[in-house]
Amino acid sequence: MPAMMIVAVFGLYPVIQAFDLSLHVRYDYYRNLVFERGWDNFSFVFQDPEFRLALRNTLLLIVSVVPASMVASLAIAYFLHTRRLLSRWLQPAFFLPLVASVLAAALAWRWLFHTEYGLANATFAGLGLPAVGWLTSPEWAMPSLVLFSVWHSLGYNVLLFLVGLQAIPPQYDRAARIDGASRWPRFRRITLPMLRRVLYYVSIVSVVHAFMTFDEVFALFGGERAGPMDRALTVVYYVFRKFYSESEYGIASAAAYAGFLLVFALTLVQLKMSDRRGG
Amino acid sequence: MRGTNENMWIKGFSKPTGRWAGLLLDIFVCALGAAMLFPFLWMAAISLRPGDQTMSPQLLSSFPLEWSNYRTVWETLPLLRYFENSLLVMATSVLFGTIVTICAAFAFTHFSFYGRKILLAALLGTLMIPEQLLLIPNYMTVAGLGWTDRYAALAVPWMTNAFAVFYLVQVFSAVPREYRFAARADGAKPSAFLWKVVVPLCKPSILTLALLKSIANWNAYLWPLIVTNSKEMRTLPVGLLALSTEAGTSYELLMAMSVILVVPMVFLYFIVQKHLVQAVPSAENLKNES
Amino acid sequence: MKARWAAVLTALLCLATACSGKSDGAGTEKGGAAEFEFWHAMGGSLEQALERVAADFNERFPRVRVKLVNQGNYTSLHDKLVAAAKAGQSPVLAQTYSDWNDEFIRAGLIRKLTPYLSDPEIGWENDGLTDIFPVFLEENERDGDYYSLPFNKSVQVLFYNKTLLDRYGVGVPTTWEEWKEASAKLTMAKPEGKGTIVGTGFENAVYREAYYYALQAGGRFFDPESGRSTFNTPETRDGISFVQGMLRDGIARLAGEDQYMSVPFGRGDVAMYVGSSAGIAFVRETVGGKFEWSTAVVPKGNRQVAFIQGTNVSMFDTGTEEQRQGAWQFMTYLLEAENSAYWAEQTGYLPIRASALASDRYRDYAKSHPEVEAASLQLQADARLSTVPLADVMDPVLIKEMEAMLLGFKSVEAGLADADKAINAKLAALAAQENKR
Repeated sequence: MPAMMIVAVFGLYPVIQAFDLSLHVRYDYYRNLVFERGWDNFSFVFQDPEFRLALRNTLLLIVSVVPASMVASLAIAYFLHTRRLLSRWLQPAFFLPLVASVLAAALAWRWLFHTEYGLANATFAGLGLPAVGWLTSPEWAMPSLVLFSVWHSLGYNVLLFLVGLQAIPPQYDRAARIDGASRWPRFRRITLPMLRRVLYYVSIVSVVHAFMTFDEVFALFGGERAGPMDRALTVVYYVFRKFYSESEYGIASAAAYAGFLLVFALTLVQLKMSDRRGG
Repeated sequence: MRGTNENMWIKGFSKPTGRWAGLLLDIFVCALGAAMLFPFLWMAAISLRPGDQTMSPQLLSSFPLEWSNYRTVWETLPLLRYFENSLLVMATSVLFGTIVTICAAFAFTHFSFYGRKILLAALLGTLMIPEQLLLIPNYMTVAGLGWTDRYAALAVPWMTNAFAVFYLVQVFSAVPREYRFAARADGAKPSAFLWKVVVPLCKPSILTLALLKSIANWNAYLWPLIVTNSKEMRTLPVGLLALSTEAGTSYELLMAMSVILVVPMVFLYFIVQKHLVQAVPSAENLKNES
Repeated sequence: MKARWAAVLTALLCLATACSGKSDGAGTEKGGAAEFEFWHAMGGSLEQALERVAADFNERFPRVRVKLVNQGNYTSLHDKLVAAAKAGQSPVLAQTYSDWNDEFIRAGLIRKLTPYLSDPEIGWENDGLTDIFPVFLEENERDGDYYSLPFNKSVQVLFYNKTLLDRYGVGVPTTWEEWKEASAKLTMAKPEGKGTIVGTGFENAVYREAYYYALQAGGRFFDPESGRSTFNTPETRDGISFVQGMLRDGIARLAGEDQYMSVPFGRGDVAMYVGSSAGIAFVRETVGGKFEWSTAVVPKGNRQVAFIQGTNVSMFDTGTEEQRQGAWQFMTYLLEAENSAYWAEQTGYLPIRASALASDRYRDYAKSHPEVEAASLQLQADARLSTVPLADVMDPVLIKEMEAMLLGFKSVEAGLADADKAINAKLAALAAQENKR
């Protein structure tokens, strides 16, 4: 229907924006006066050890946060789904992280992670473990970020999985039950495949979201450095810093573009996989 | 026989060892839920502390509770106006946005037109450019259209969201083919099919989407800050920014504001929750309706 | 069917365009009065004070109106200014940092104030400028022209916990040696409760302040003749080593995860710290009545250096001449002695004029709030540091190296040597680009 086409196109308005920017600003200097075009920005970015660090961190994030988050939220959603009594009260609890601003949540986590006064180290002390410099030592910067990110993503993912689980017609499961199948095989063979679409959506979105990690770092570590010795530097943080703090617009755009290509490639791979399994 | 099975399905495991494991898991999930709530407890606690106790480590560091923080926030910022703005923008944006997204997702799933895959990929691509970078060009466009400081600037760009479209595309493509054939056999137009069959079927998902959109819209601070200048036009989260300065931050005020921000969303969630947990409408019923 | 969609779309568009709020641009003419916008980043009580001044101004000068626009914090203010500049929607007046102005001036966005200063009608008489503390004025001038005027200025001072110092018989340090000694004496396990008290604290922003400690140690960090940075000199090494040494020995700490030193200071975890006088209001809050505290001039290294921070007011090259003149009048009004003193009282920033400082009202204020005295005393230092030229080139490198050095990952020699190398490389690249143009 032509009318629907119009609507679909309208939905692409921001897309045009995005590409307009990338091409436009890629090599430009301030105020759209193009002094020079060239691949210099890109070569700088790829040779910059800071960018490499950011890239490594971001990939690390993707690889750790996404699976952890998906498994955790799926498990939680499943429990909520099968224990109706509790779930009415527990659901909001898992939903809340989604609602609060990252800043507020980060503040609470900063307290949790406080080296001297935080609950985490207090618990460790109680268990006889040494205190950890969660937010102050370079080694623990990324783990802290990962923990926080997983926590923060649970709200979104649990909600989606929950809705997805409820969309599965219960007959299949019931039939399997009557046939005497036990929990785990039932889950694996019936529930999981029916969740396929939601799973793919969540995985793609989680990857993208992990890539875009910026707010979490900013809120958790404050604006000066991305964690002690920049150990929690992510690609987007790098872009932000180059753009707003150092006014290196060209480099920022080049870095963003590079990151974009990476994630885009990852996503295409995931899409292909979902298509092949019979979408 | 049927009844007993259903009971078991709801309650958990039936074997004795299984029951213990079930209980343990229940406790575990409850604990997890509590862990999720912990930051909010903290947030609320900080918002009720006087300034010199803000950063003290004990949860209940002082009695009596310092409700005056909320009053301070109320006096410092035009909260009522901000609230109205946030509400208005969110309502329009989400309402129209959901409709648009439904149509777009439908178009993607049920029509195969040339360039469909490319468009879909491009749509996904927009998600991957950091928001911060897009800020300025979007602002330039908006300014060029003369929308600065108007509701239009706040609401329209948020109406379309690639995540949303992509999500609905997934959801819609899960609708079994038979429905479509049946509808076509009945001679129903695609739009009728969309609104009479697909939407009711996917209601929980659509509602979820609307909810998520609402939250994102409600909490957005960067964009509203950029496109608005006058106090009359700003939204709630922008008020948050005004509470932190370069020499320090009044965390207790910040948290009070955050609590104020969160409460309406929790409210919204409870309203919607009922509909999310709805039983999936039986396929046969729907078919008869259309 | 199509009609339905058309209806929906038109409704959408109608909603979008017709639903308007304020539709001002950077300023309009409103019923005879020339209105203009002043973008700032003052929140909370600071904003209230500013609003008072603005309201007074609007009353006194009915033919012009200033409209205050709060843009959040400095970061968002900067973002907005950049965005607005690109969209050609800059406000007529804004609060800016001197290093932002570097960029803006280079792009021709800022209007020179010199013609307004010397204007026979609305200009300033001679003493208008000389009355302003030169240390504040310096960074606003470039090549003989004034591009901005100082607005809210603060200086770094030493905060100290009087109760604690008295209890252990430690006097307020006035030199670096005394400072080190005092820190060592005041670092101990907490007498009540768990945890430790550390002698001295440094804000996280100390990463950006290598210049300060270099100067205090008697060194120079930049050689204008050769155009190269000179961080790797003995004096500078001494300066940075001083800070690093204290951190390493555990008698000093960074704000770290607490973000601002006012927090641990208020908790009693730290005996003294170096921070901006703008933090006085926050320290008042976090300390409450828990202990007595005050401020002092920062202990002297080889030199006494006043580290000035804060913003200025700049006029952008937009709007009509009426608006600009109105803006100029507001600037004049804002920076008048009376208002400057008022501003200082309400906010804890410094009065920018000698006459404001000497005014009765400020003197009374200082008497009842002794903790603000040190700030004005600090102004009388041997040397001053406000903006650093080419900071945008040096800062990124410095921050990284300072962090590495202060956290103990690099030796001071190595860190400074690397800093020098990196900065000079950047400067050379910049020069090459300039030549290409």
